[in-house]
Amino acid sequence: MVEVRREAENADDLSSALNAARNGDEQAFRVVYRLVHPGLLRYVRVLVGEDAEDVVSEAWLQIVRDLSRFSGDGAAFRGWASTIARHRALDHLRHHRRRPALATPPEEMPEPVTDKDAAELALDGLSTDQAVAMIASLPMDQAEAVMLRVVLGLDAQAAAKVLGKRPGAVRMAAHRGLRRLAENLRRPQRSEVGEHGE
Amino acid sequence: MSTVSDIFGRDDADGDEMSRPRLISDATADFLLSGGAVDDPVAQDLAQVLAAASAPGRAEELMREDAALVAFSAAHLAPIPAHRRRPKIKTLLVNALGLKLAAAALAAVAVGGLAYAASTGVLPDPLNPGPASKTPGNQSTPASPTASHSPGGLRTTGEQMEGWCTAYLNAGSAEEKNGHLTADLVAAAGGEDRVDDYCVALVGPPKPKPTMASPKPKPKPTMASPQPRADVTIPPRPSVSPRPEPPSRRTQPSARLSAR
Repeated sequence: MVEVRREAENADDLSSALNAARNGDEQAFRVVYRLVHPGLLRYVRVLVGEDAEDVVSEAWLQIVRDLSRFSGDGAAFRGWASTIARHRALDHLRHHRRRPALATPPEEMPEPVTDKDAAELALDGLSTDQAVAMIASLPMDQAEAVMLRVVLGLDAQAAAKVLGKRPGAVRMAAHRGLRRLAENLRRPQRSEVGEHGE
Repeated sequence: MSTVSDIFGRDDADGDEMSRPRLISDATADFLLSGGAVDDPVAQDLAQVLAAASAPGRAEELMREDAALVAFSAAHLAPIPAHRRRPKIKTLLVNALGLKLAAAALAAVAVGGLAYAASTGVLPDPLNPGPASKTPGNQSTPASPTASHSPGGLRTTGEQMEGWCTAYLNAGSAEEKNGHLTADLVAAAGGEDRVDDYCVALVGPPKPKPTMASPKPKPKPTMASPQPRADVTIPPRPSVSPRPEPPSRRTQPSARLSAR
């Protein structure tokens, strides 16, 4: 399958670029950045909202500072970078209110559909930002679990390590997040009291 | 084999808020979380959202790439040699004292630090700018074995000038630098305090500079036709998309940002 091969190439790309970057190769660092930063940015956006760029910039300062001491492949790097970004985000939240500029207002959610084709059309134009905003509207533990698994590509063990939780708890949170998302797709979130904060 | 509970996935876990058959089974959920594609229509909608969330990076998400590269380069620089570590002091001294006295002052600083230099009276008094009274370790006449001292400069060629400049810039100590200050060179530069800039413009900086993307101050324009400095150029970022995949289309739901 083409998609599987492309993903495998991505993983190899990151690992080999990482090795070169550890030796000071600047172009290799650019590759690392382009493969990893967008995921970090989207993940941190779920945590801190609009200030995500600043927070992730700070995370990169720490990442490049400690890069020579990091040993591991691309997957391990994603987990390590995610941990650093998460700490920065939580630190940021201790001093700043979250600015949830990306929570999708109900009127912007995709229309509820019963027809499968119509559903595909509605979701076909879904942008990355909209999709991330939908995930961001989940309870925080569910949103984090989904982002780390799906967007940062961490496996269950690695995601649990980033979150400092047991793998079973992270799996449950991720499952609940997916189910809630599926529910929201069938009928968009209105300001129903029972929907939030569960 | 697909049973009702495979499709709808009853969950026995406590505290589960969904008492009715679930939209997504545990198996399907695990599959989606690992990046798999599914046939089930409900799961397909969800899969499309997840695919959009994990689409490859866009240019708008890479706005701070160059800044990150600067940080990366800075973290990998070789340590700067000691005698070049205080360029600001050097500039101040050259501008304030003229080159020969500044050279002596620099020598004193290199030997014993600022306190030593201040105690020997080599550094200028900020309230009374003027030539310092003492110049420890200074040689009265610069030695210039190869220079041609023709004041009119009739026999001074561009090649000679470059040679003097190269020797001057690469000289290890202040006294040695002094030794390469020929009259013609100083005249061409327009003064002893301009020799540095003149020579750098003529033959380039003496040693390879760190490759940082942040701009460095350019040399002042001089009388000689300056050779362009070897500025570091960062290759332009592709305008379309970053490696490895262009993020343009939504029709590739399986093209993931992250790899496993």
